[in-house]
Amino acid sequence: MSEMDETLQIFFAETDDLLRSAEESLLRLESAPKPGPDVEEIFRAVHTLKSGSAMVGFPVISDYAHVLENLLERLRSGKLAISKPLISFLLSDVDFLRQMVDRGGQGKLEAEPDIIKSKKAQLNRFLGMEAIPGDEAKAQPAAPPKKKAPEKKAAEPSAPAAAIPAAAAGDLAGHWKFYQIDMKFREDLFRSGQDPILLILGLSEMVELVDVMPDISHLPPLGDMDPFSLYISWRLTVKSSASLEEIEDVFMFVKDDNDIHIEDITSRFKDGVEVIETEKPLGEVLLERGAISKEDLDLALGQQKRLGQILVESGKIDESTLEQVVSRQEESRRTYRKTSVRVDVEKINHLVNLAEEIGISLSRLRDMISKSALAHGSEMEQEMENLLKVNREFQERVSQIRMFPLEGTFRRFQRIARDTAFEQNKRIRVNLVGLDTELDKEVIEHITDPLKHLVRNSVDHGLETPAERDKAGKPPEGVIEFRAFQKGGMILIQISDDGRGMDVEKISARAIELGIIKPGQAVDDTNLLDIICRPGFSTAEQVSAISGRGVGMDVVRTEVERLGGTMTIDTVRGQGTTFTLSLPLTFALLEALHIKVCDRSFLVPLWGVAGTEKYIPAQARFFGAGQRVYSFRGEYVPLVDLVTVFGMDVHDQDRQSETLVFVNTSRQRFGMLVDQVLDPHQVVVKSLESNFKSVKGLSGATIMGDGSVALVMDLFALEEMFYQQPSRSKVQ
Amino acid sequence: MATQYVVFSLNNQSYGIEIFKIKEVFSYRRITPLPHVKGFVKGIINLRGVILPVFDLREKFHLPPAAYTPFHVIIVVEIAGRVMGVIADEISDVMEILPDDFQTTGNLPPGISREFLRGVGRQDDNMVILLDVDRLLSVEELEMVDAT
Repeated sequence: MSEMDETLQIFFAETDDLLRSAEESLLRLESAPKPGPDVEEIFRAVHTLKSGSAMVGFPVISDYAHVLENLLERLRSGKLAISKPLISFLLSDVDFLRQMVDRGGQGKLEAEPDIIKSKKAQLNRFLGMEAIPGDEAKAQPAAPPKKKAPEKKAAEPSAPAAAIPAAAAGDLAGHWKFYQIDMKFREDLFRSGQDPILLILGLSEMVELVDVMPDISHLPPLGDMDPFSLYISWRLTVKSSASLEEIEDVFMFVKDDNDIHIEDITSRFKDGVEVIETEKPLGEVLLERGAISKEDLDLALGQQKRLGQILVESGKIDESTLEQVVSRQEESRRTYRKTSVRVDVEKINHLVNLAEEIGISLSRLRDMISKSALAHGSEMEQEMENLLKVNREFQERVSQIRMFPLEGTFRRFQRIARDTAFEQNKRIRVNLVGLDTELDKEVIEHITDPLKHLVRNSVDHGLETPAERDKAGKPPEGVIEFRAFQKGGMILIQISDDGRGMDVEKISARAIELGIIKPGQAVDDTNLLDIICRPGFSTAEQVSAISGRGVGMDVVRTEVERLGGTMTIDTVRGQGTTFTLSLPLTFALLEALHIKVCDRSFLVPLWGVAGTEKYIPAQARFFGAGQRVYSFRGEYVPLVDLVTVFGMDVHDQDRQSETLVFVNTSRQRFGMLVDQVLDPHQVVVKSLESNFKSVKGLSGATIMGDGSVALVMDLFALEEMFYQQPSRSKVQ
Repeated sequence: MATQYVVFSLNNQSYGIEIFKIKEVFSYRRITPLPHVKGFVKGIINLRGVILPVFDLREKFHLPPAAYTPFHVIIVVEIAGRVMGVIADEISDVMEILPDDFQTTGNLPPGISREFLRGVGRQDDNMVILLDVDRLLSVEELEMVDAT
């Protein structure tokens, strides 16, 4: 399987997931239209799709996703209200994206230009809408979009007093007409006692000026200028309910001697936004506005060619080779949709469970046989041994279904890094270490997008241009290294660059500006990660396809933590940055410490356990009302009372808490007072949701060796619950 | 650089205020309650002809209320440019806290709102909760104090 094929295959699988999650979020939004995690979710999906499709060579999809992203950005920042029509439009967009991906997969052009054009026009119409203020939004949440623009404008002071009463303006929205007025006057207009400014002012009594574009191309140099001559001509776009004749009447005294041209262009406007303009290529708009000349445009356009064409022309390849390659490309896109079988992980989990159960039963059976009279050397015992061996291998094979080497993922990153560097004229060498390190497929899937962001970040922000590197005394070629290795029960993935390192001062300034840290507070290793992982945090000046929207880092962190992993960052100014992700080997198996509180079993994920200690009551200190801190390794950490947090129904006197379990979630550190600490276990976490409902603070349950049920703690949720509980709890 | 703190106790917990924020300390004297003023502002006292508002940190930190005795003390502090009195159980110490013994608010429990704190300090086996007096009162509370 070639590198590109594999990439494509992954892209298709991923896109399916992304679009499905976007769809779900949209449907949730429809029932509860407010900005929040759902909008973020859609935004992330589109953002990921944008970069993914650009990478595998679907520019049309990427381009469209970019425009869509702009719209979502406004939604996200609250500049655009969430309305029913908008949601249905976005839903249709999801279908549209899916359709484009499907077409792309069949080797066709992703979408016909005409369709794209009309879709984009629709998008732009939504982009033209402003957010409605809060109470208005409540009063008429599903107000049809087309009224918005006129309503707003009618409220402006220039509203036509003569033509229509302002109050009725909204209702007359449908009767607005748009005119384009070209005014080219004679140079000696002033001598006839006329003044264009008076005309325009007179006009504004009955129309609303939408756009005024002066043409100053005929303006002579200052020295040759005659102050009594008029060199400027105008193009006005106006909105009015007046008829063409009424508008023409304004120019009654000048139209005979001057070149006045009035045209009804209402059809070009929809809902108050100029549709044509947004659809036109940039070059034409610039040309029309007089910003560039026709020659400039042609010259610029002449320089744009498809890569293949350029290569053919410069003699690097011949036309037939190009055609061959292009058709092969299409072919591979077509075939790769079908070769992979995606299996629901649940199915594999069932298999793993069953294999375990068979194993347990078999060993019990063997014990029974060896104790019975049938023992020693009997055929039955031999067959039993055989069965056990087969089952052991079966168990191994089943668990292996989930494990994949990181090679494929790393090769994709190599590609991304190379492409990103190429776009920015940076030179790069990519080192891959530990390609055969295996990781649970599900973990790989969850980690790929976050890692992609890190890779782009490293190249985009980390690496310098060859010139900069030269100045810093480094070889012109930057080095990015991907490294994977196993350490304990975790897989460590490192992405490092030898670039400029992070500008802590700049980060600090931005963090203060955003109010993340207080002025005077230093940015150090402990809070650097917190700062750069804030949603919306970005020091990039420009929003590009690669970075700058501040989506990246918070996604990375959330995803890593959701997997039960942690992330660290190590940056040295001028020498580079290393991101280290430590991830559990597999999703299904969790290393956890078995503890007991009030005779109830809990499992604390081992990755979060910083240590255990005997509890000495005299070392606890009261902190405010009802809370205590305890000195652990030179730091006072809060003591979390599980009885309070989980609202357990027990009395203090029943408790004999003797041990402290210290937890470090990478965000906070705290200690938990427990009655008993037992052994660490490797357990299969079973979700509570599938048969009951999700319980805050717990990520699931598991069956212990003795058949009892133990609850698995969700440390992040626990931490949240602790910090959110009312400070006025129990008074000690 | 070490910072000096005046350490006082509230409900058997040690709290510290930077020494340069403190004008003086005197023993408890009768507080004249103000009508229609509730909560942490306990009333006013006369200090050598100056009327000072006095407030009780126990209310602020949700600690159980205590009956005032002659053994209580009133610490006169300057908060956001205003001079006022704070009731404490007793003054215990003046303590120097070195940067190494200082811990920021980052990982402290939510019992006392972090904005009121500088952090905690440690000396030998003792922990002192260090207050940021300038942030102790909200804008509304300062207005209320101004009104007295």
